[in-house]
Parts: sequence; C-alpha cells; structure tokens
Amino acid sequence: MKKSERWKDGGYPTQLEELASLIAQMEPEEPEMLLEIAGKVDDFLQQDLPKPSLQSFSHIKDTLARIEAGDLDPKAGYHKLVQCIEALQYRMEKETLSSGLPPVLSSDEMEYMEMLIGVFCEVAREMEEGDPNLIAYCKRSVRKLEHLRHVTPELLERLKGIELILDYLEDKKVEFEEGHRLILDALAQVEEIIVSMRENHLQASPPAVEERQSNELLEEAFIDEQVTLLEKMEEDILVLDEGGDEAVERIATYIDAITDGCDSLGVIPLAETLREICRELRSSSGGKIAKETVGSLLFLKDTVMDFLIRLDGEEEAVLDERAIKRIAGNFRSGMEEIDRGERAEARMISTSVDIEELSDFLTEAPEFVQGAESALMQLENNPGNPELLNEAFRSFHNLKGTASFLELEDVVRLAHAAEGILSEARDGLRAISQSQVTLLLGAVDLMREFLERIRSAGPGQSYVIPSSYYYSLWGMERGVRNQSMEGGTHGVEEAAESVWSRQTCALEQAGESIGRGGYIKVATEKLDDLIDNVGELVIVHSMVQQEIEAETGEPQASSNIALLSKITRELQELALGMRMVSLKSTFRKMARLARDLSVQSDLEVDFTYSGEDTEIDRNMVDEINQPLIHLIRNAVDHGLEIPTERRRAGKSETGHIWLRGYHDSGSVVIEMEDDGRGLDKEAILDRAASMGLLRDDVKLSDEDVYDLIFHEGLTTACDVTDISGMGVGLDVVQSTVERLMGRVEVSSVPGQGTKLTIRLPLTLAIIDGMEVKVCEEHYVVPSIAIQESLSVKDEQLSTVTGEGEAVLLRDEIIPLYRLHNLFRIDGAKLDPREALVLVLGMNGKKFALMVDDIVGQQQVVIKSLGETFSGVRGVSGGAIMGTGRVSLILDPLGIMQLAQEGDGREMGEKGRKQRT
Amino acid sequence: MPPKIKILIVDDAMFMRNRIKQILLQGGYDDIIESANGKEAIESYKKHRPDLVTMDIIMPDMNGIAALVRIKAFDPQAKVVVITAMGQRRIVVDAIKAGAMDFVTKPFKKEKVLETIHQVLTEPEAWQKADLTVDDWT
Repeated sequence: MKKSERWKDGGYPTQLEELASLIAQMEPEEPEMLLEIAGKVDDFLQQDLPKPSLQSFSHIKDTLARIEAGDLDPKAGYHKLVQCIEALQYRMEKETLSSGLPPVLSSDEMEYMEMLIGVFCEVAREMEEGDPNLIAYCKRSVRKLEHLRHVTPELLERLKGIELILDYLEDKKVEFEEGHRLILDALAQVEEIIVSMRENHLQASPPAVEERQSNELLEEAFIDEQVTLLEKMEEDILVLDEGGDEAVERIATYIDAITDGCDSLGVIPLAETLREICRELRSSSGGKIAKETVGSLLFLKDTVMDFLIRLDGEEEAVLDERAIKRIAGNFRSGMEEIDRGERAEARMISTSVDIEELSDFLTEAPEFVQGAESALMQLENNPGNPELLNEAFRSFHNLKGTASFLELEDVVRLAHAAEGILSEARDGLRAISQSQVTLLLGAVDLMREFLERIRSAGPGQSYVIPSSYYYSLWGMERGVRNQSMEGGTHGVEEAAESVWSRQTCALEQAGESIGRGGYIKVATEKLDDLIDNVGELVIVHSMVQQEIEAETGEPQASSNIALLSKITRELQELALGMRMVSLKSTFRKMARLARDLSVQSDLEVDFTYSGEDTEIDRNMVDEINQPLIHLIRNAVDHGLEIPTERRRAGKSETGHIWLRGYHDSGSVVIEMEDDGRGLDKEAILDRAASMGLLRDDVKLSDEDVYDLIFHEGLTTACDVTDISGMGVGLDVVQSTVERLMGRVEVSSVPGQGTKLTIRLPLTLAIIDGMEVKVCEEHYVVPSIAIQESLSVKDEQLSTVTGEGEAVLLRDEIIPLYRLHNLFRIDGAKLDPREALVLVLGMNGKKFALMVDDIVGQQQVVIKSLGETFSGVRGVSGGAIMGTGRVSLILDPLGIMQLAQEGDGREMGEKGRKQRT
Repeated sequence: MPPKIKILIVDDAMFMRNRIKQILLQGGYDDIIESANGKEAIESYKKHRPDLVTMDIIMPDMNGIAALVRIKAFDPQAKVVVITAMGQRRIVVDAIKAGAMDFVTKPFKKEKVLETIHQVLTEPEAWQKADLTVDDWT
C-alpha cells in the first residue's frame, strides 16, 4: 500500500497533527467536514498501529457517527474528539521518546547504571598507589559506562575526563596524589549527575506496569466530579442487578464520562480499557446482561473509585494496569468466578521462560526450601547462631536469585522479604525473635506451595497464588519496615495489594505477543471429566441415532440427526484437543540429554529433532519421557561408534541421532534413528540362545530377531558402562509403550544404523478395538495388539505336554488360549476349527486367543471399571457399545498371565476333550 | 571462535551454574568446569588452571571473597569475575579490591555476561600494559 509506505518514515506525527487541526476547526453542523475527518480516521485505521491507538481511532469514528446521527450533542462530541486526539498525541510522544535516546530509562537500566557507577566510584575513591589492577578495573568500567545507552552528554564528558586521568596514572605521567585528587573531583560531579538522573527517572514517564500521576495535574473538584459519577453509576448498576435493562445505556454514558476524565488525567491504559468495556456493554444491548457482568461492573467501580480517592488524598497512587485489564477480560468472556468465597488471583508464567530452566529451578528449589527450613528450626533453639542465620539467608537468597531469572515476581518478593529479616539479624542489628522465626517458617511453607503450583503449570500457563501470600508478605515486610523506617509509605502499597487480593478470576491476559487471546487454568480432573462425558455423549448419540433411524423414516429427522452427528463429532475433537500438548518440552529435554551423554562418553554427537509441534495427550507425555531416555542412552552408548571407528567405516566422525515426531493415520509416531553400527544380529541370537529363549525348530525373521532386544535381561553390549548396558531398559521401553496402548518397532541395517519407532494412539481416552463375541458375551480387543486373525485347520492344532494347546503358524508354535475357559463362559463354540483365533502380540510374546466370532472394528471410549473391579485380571476397562450394552476391554498381557498361571496340563487336557 | 578457553564456574546453586554454562556455551566457550563452593573452587583452580573464574559470593563452605583471595594468592594473574545480586555494592567493591577483574549482577543477561567475560579475557594484563607505548590512544 502506498500510504503505509509513506507513513513509515515519520509520516504518522504529521498526519496526526493534520487530523488534530481538522478536528480543532470542525464545525459540527457541517456534514462534509465530518465526512472528511472520518475519511482521515479510516486511513489511520488501515495502518499497522499499536492496538490502543487503533482503539482510540475507532472511538473517534464512533463519536463522529453518533454526532452525525444526532445521537450526541455536537458540543459534547467535539469535546470528546479533542480528548481522544490529545490522548493519541500523548501516547505518540511517549512512544517516540522511548524509541529514541534518553531520558526514559527502565527501572532495571537505572538500577544497573547506578550499581555500575556506584561500584566504580567507591573503587576509584579507595584506590591506593601501586595497584595497577584497580586502575585497569576503573578504565574498564568507564568504558562500559560510556557505552550505556542512556549516558547523557555531560556525564560522558566527565567519564572521558576520568579515563584520561586514569591513562596518565597508568603510564605514570602524573603523580598518584594529584591524579587521584582530580579523579575525586570528577567523581563528585558524576555522582551529582546520577542523583539528578535518578530524580528525573522517578518523575519521568511511568514504567510499563504502573501508571503514576503527579498530583499537580489534578484538581480536586475534577476528582469529586468523577467520584460523583461513579456513585451514580453504582446506583444504576444495582438496578441492573434487578433486571432494569434501560440502565445499560446510562451506565455506558457514565463510563464514557469517566473515560474522558481518565484521558485528561493521562491515565491512558485505564481509559483504553474503559472504552473497551463500554463497547462490550453497548454491543450486548438488548438488555441481556449476565449476573457476572454486574459483579464486574461493581468491582470496576470500586477499583476506579479507590484509585481516584487515593489521587485526591495526594498519596502516591498506583493503578495496576493488569488489574484493570482483568476486569476487561471478565467482560469479554463473562467467565468470572461467581463464588466470592473462592476468589483467587492468578499469575502467568512468562511464555519466554525456557521449560528446561523452569524444570531445573523446580528440581533445585526444594533443596533451598529444605535448607531454609532446617536452619530455621535450629534457630528456634539457637536464635543468635550466625552460621544458621547465614544458612537460612543463603537459601532464601538463592531462591530469590534463581526465581528472578524466571520472572517469578512473587517468589522473588517473598524470598526478598525473608532475606530482609534474616540479613538484619545476621548483620547484628537485632536478634531474631520467636515470632520472626514463625513468620519465616510460614514463608517456607508458602514457598513450597508456590513451587507446587508452578510445577503443575508451565510456561504460558497460569497458576493461582496461594491465599496466604499477601498476609505473609505483609507480615515480613512490615517487620522489617517498622524497624528500619518507622512507618513509611506502605499504606498505599497495602491498599493496592488488597485490591489485588480481592481480584478475581483465574483468567490472565496472555502475553501481548499472543494478542488478545487469554488462557484459563482448568484442573485436569475437570478436563478429564469433560472428555469422559463427551465420550458418553458420542455413545448415547449413536444409540439414539440407531433407534430413530430404525423407527422413523422422516427426512427431517434424519437430516437433524446428521447435523447432531457433525456437532457431536466436532465437540469430541475439540474436547480431546484440549488435552493435547506439544512434544516440544520432551524433545528439548532429549536434546539436552544427548548433549550431556556425548560429553560423558567422549563421542561427537549431532542431535537433531523435528516435528516437536506434534501434539500428544497430556496424560501420555510424561510417560514417554522414560522410554525415550532409554532409547537415546542406548543410541549414544551402543549405537554410535567412536570417531576412529566411524572414520574407518567411511562415515563422518560425528555421529547423528534424529528424533522425529509426526502424526500418521490416527497415531502419534515418535521415531528415533541413529547412524551408528546397527544391531548385531548374531550377537543377539547368541545371547538369546544362551538365555534359552530360542527354539531350535523355529526360524526367526530379521524382525523377530530385532524384537528380541526388548526381552528382559538381554543386552548385546560387550562391556557395561556407566551410561547403560546394564541389561535393563529396552524391556521397560516396550512395556511402558504397550501400557499406553502403543507399539515399538525396530529396524536396523548393519553398519548404517538403527531406527526405533514408537507408535502411540492420539489419546488414552479412545482406542481402536475389535469387538469379538464368545457365546452371548461381547469383548473388545485393542486393535494394536492384534497381529492377525484366522480360522485354524486341523493340522495346525496340537497339544504340547504340560503346556496346553498350541497352534502351528508358519513353523511357529503359538500357545492357544480359549477365552471361554479363562472367563468360564458356558455355551461357547468348543471346536477351534469352527471358532476364530486371534493372534495377539504383546511385550514380544505371542499367543492365540480363541473366540466365537468377530463382530467388527470400532473406536471405543475407555471407561474405568472403578475400584471394586480394579483387581480383575485380563480386563483393562469397559466400554459402552453403540447398542448400549457394556463390553469389557481385554488386556492381552493380563490374559497371558492368567492363562499361564492356570494349570497348563489341565487346560490342555480340557481343551483336547472339548475339541473331540 | 575464541581459542580454547577454560572457565571455572563457582556457584552453590545448580540453576545458576547451568544458566551461566548455557550462556558460555552459546558464546563458544565449551571447556567448562564447575564447583559448588569456595573450597572446591580452590582445589579445582589448582588442578585445572582455568583461564577465567566466575565466582558467586554467598556460598557455604567458604564464601566467594575468601576463595577469591586464596586463588589470587596462589596465582596473582588469576582472572575472576564476581557474580552478585543487585544492590550488594559494598561486597563488589571489596571483591574488586581483593583482585576481582569485574562483576556481573543477577539477574544477568546473556550479552552482559559474554561482554564482560570477553573484555576480561582479551584485555592485556595491567602489568603487561605498563610496557606499551603511549601512542595507542591518540
């Protein structure tokens, strides 16, 4: 677009000025003029501007439209437009300033600069003759300071001066005493500049989160007016509660007025949010106002009122933008928690936090908490012990330090408060009292609670702040303050906090980068319940569908049913999708592991992963970590050769491991491949033979041989290293994957590498099953376990003495188990030649299961059988079938155990008799 | 790629060690050893002779300043960068007077850490620089 190109290089201010002058000259009675302004505003709306600015522009447009339609008094409208333009210009100035050079420093930058200069000044001041290291340090820090973004020219000048003197001192061109005196003079000037910068900084435009206002701008009368407006609004809100619909517009008008007030006070974020709320409110007209909205409106009134009254009282008023944003969030979603008893405040873990670091933190932090606790317990009997004080201090200090990296502000604040009490005691200002120890132990418990909650969340997710947080913090901070400052200004902060803690809703705005979408934290049990119930819905739906289709032939009914089917299916997908998480964190963990292992084993390993966005059921993701760790350890330890060996084999010295995730025909596939030496078939066979796993009469395919590596206790490693090769691992991999209704496959090419493929169902809630029948009983066999189904011929049947019946299938003898015998069902087909046999493979073992017939294949929702039947073997759950009847889902592994425990000979005999 | 530089990270918090390690790895310093307290640090320094040490101050079993003093006594040319929390100005001044080359404040940014370390590593030592001619800065 031509326009946006032109605007990019500084066009915006000019355009805004033009718009401002147009509005200033506006004659509300002249429609052409209104149109011209509206056209200009449209141009702005097409630009790529920050959202708040765009909102202001659309507000201008609304106002213009309302003037034109005669909805708004032209004078009031004009006033409104001017305020909007002023707000826009104010914001523009703020943005230009922050993108340019000084004077807008963030608090962090200011603090950093002060620290740098403070240390430098002290070192320079205390410098003594004959220490070249200190001169070198001073020069280094002067250079660092010169490069800071916010150094003013006058400060730079002083610094350059100091640098010159330092050079002279270093080269001994000047007497030390004289040089040092000159430096001291310059330092005094530097410190003056810093003090004034600090003052400017405090007055300068507000830091991102809070909006500070200097009191000069405020006129008492103006605030009084706002307060009156708020009070009137409250009356209307209360009417709204009783169902007075026409009050909505009146409330919106009040909010309009308050918004204008906020604009002229310069409280821009509040004004923006109010505007948004107002729009929501108007768009919901028709009088449908949810009860929750009424609550939110009242809360809004309280918050704004609070803020204004504090402004009036000439206190330092702090308005938390986030608090206000949440109110807006309530309006948007109407998802406010109504239960006032359970109001809780949520915090979001920043999306920029690295999951690995978070988990490192969560692993280590409990140690610090533990350390603090044990030191505090001992301090109770030994309050003056400096070592214990130090230990407790150090623990909180570490918590503070590490949490600060993860932007866990509340943890930092809590640890900081605890640290404060301890450092005062440690520095001998006063002994630690019994009540302080109690307070600190409270903080320890709270810290544990925090860690627990953070653990169950993750980056980009929010957690609820423990309810005693503010209380504990208040106690500790007051303890320190009362001693150190006598009173102080904590009143405002406390009040601000009480607003905070009254704050509702677990709904937190997601980071700006994600846009307007929000996150809501939901207990996993609720989610599981939802998914279960949707599963039920699907089943009942298909039952109803079958009935209705059978009974009525009406076209309307069947088209409605089709629609219902579609919605049900979408609902099911949505519900399942809610529990899906990406493999990202898992893959990252593996990358880290591979790196650590390669260092330990002196191999060069290049680990690449792809498809980390593949989603998997949240309930599965933790379970697959362990198997993957085993696989990667195996690959590094057994798969990849040492560099010299690789070179001999004509491969690059760096070994490669690939980890891939993808979806394939309704399954999640995780593939791990290495380009190592491949599996040694002979070694596996030797080992298997020595363990007595092989039968002479059975010829194994390559696949079968490779499958042997999953057998318990089998390892081909010649030596046992500290990494793996202990003979455990792969069987664990297989059993874990199979417990998740999945499958592991191996393929390998000698000298070129090995590939292991883990195939998992998309979700644990639903499985693909084969419905089978024994007499009148129906069962579901997980499809993933079924290798084939067949009807056996006479010559395939045999009875192995002491082992029971068997089926001979392509030279392989497979034990045959009769389901009717195992489950004691009477009236089943007794002759295997008439019945059907399913060959099931699980955990590297195979068996044949005899059933009467196969009914068909279908997806079923797994239902737990509850505690009473949890001990029943051979059955893993139940499923409600389309017909409405309940079928049990068979657990192949359990069946095998059940059959092997039954007396083989007796079963065999019984079977043989049954056959004949 | 800088020449093979060996760096010793001293911090009692694993999290911090990992954090610093990651930053160093990203900066191309891949020869890294770690110690969890001052005592270990001294042993490790004597054994490995690293080119640079990053030293936390508040640690059990001998704090960072005590360890710094011992390391400097063992090897006056040791390069130590102190890692410290914001606001502990006095401690930092003491550390620098005890021979630390520079300091980094927590929470640190990757750039700041690498910049400081790079400066410390590349700068000619003060006692060497005394031999240079004056013309350098004109």
